[in-house]
Amino acid sequence: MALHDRSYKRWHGDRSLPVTTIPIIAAAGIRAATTAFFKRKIPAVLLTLMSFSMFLFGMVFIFLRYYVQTNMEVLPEEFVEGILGEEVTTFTSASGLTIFFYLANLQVVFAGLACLLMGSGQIANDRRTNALEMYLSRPVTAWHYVVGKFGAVGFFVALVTVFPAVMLVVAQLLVSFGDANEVARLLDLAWRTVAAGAVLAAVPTLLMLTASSLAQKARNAAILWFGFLFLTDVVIAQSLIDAFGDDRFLLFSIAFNIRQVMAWFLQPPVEYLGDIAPDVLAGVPVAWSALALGALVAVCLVILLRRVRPVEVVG
Amino acid sequence: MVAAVDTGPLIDLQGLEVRYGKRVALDQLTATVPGGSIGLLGPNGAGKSTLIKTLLGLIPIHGGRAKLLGRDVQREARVLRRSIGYMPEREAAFPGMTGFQATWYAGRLSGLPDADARRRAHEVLLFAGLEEERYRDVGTYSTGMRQRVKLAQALVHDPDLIFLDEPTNGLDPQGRSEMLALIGTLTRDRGIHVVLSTHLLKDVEEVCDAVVVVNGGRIVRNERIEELTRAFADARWIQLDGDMQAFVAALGERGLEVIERKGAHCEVRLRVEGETAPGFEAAAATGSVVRALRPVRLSLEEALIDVLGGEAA
Repeated sequence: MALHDRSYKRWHGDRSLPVTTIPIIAAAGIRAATTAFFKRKIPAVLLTLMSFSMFLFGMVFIFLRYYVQTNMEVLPEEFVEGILGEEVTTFTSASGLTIFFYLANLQVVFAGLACLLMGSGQIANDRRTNALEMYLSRPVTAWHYVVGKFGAVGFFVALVTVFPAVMLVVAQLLVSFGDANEVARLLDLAWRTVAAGAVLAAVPTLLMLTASSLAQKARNAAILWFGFLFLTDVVIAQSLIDAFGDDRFLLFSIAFNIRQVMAWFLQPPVEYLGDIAPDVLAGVPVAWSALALGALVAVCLVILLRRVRPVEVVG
Repeated sequence: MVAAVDTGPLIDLQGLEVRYGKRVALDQLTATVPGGSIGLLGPNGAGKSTLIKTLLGLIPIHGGRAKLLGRDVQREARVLRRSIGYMPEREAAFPGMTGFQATWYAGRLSGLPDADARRRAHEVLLFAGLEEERYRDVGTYSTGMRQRVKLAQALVHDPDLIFLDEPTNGLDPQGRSEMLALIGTLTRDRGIHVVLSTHLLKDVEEVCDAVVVVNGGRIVRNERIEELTRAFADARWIQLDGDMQAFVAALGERGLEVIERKGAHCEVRLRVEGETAPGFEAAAATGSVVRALRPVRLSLEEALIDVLGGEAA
């Protein structure tokens, strides 16, 4: 005798309820990428710790400064001087400069790794296993699919960029109550951080999804993504600048355009910017960089919507 | 037995045209297909899969219109797909998922709430014959198990209509028989409309009530199987107990033509439709007994060859 009733049963639920497939696709993408990432546990844990190390350092320092400021009388003078000294403060309090430095110089590596490790297989694996046919024969459009996958990859990139950066601002905000000017400055910085982080997260994510849609293996998508960034940044932009001596060829560099737009949002002081991002001081209007990124996004979307099809139509 | 959901014609095509570039894949199809279990037949490249994908809204229409369950397949594609299941011909799976996860995910994508999707996933996987295997990665499944999990995914949201594209592909005889039994259950006992596209005519004979025959992007037949296989209204199949040679000679004397003769059986063309008396007279005259007499029917294979041969000519 069978343990379970194996007969086919009808479902009597409500089919008229709206279908929200985007978060379902995004959640499935996050789960699949996380499972694959943690298959190799030790490297995965080490990489995760590394990606949050500077964030943890920043948090510790913000609260340490607060502790020192509120207990100056009982602490040794050298220690107070060391923690509150001007040079240290410049780079460890939440400001446009520190957030720019944190995102564009420190976390950009982890943003790239998140794209490579979590994003390269998102569409490529679906193409290899013909899952697109399974998606698009349900109440899922190509737009839903692309936005859902963007949400999955964007989640990981944002997790190592926007999220910690915003948390640094929030931590600073927590220890700044009572100073109205400081609170106003930090609230202004908060939205600028989200905007700059969104640019850093969105453009490489969309580029990775496009590469993934052009491949049937995650490895090939990763090579394509990295190759495209290398080609535009080093080969094309740098070669043209060297050949013609004109900084405007930086527009071909996706990395430069992202940094340029992020700097516009975060407005770091120019005297420090030269030390951490000299290319951003080149004579290229920020509007041009924004336009270049907009064009890149448009091309990516066109390619994605052409590639995300249930049937390969050969003319 | 449960009656199929009544929404008027199952499929309603009016001048439907689909092209791949300049090549016409579906050429001005006009047909009304009633509900039930429909076999979609035709040679390779006839347009069967294109028709299914067009009806699912996966391929754009270049002319005419198509309605499924009373809804326009282009304008109401998303609504329609909540009531339709699709089991594709080729291997198709959500990567890195177990059978249960893939079926649950398919249910969620089709609009089922989370709890319902979980319950339905277990139910349809049991129905499809995947019990313990449902917790294994689909990538490790055998061909038969993959076909079963595809069927479960097509059924998880309890569609009113299910498209099955070559569902017995790659299955051994027992697996094929079990798959056909499952499909038969759906249509006969649960009232789900089934459109079965296959090269295996035995599968269609076993499961379907009607067939749509596609050839060269056109529908060349759309009728019930018994109508398609009733080849000659004026012919009868006779089983004789007696001297067949003398019987055949006696039939000839009475103006009846023997079409085919095999042992104690023969097929006879009547002079007038329905007039069987001369046959009995011939048997009586030769001292033979007619044990059985029935209208001549073609097998589905013979009927299809006849239809496609006629088209080619």
